[in-house]
Amino acid sequence: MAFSAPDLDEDLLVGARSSLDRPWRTIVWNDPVNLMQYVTHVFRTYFGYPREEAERLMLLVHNEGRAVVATGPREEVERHTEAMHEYGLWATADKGEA
Amino acid sequence: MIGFDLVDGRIALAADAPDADALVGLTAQFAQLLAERDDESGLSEAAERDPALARLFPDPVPDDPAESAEVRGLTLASLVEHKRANAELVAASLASPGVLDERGELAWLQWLTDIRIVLASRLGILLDGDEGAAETDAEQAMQWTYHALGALQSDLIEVLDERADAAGPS
Repeated sequence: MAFSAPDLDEDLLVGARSSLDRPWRTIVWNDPVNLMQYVTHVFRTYFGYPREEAERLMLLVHNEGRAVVATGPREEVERHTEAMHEYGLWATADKGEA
Repeated sequence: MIGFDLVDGRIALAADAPDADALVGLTAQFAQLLAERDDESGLSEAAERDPALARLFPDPVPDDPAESAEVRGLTLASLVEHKRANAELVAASLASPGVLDERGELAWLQWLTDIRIVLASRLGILLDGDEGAAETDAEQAMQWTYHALGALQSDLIEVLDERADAAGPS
C-alpha cells in the first residue's frame, strides 16, 4: 500500500497559523476623570467611528468597565494604545482571547 | 474667564489675564511633574512614588512585562515629549489668545485631560462618583479647578463637534 501524506497536516497548519495570527486588541478602561463626551469625541475623531458606534463603545467603557476599541496586528494595536495615552485614556494592548 | 468659540470654521480662544495667569502656572507645574520622571530612577520608580504619573503613562501591555518594557522603551520619550509640548502650546496660546491652529486645538483638548488626571489623583478621585477629599482651602481650590477645567473641556468639545457636524454627517 502506497503511503500518502495525510490531508490532516493542512488542517493542523491552518489551526497553528490562526492561533499565531490571533489579533491583538486595544482595550480602553473606565476611569473617573474623563467626561463621557470626551471619550466619545476621541473614538469618533481618532478612529473615525461614526457617532453611534463611538457612543456605543463609550457606554461599554462606562458601564462594563472596558471596551475593545481596535483589533489588528501587534504594531498597529500598540500604536493605537500609545495614541490613547496621548489623549489621557487608560488603554492597554493584549493578545485577544482564543 | 476662559472660553472657546467657533469662528469661520476655526476655534478661537478667549482668556482674561487672571485666569490665563492661573492656567499658565498649572502648565508650568505640569511640565515640572514630567521633568521629575526624567531623573535617574526613570519612570517606573517615579510612577511608584506618584500615582498621577502611573496614570499618565499606563503600562501598555500589562499581561506581558517583557513586551511592555520593550514598547515603553520605544515610545516613552515621545509620549512624554508630546505631553510636555501640549502644556507648552497651551501656555503660548494663553499668552496671545486668538485663533488656534490644529495642533493647538489638540494640545488644549489633551492637556485639559492630563491636568485633570493629575488634580484627580491629588484629590483622591479614584472611582466614578468620587468627589475627592477637599478639606483645606487649598484642596477646595483644587477641587474647584478640577470641575472648572472639566467644564472648559466640555465647551471645547462642543465647538469641535459642532464644526465636525457642520462638515458632514459622521
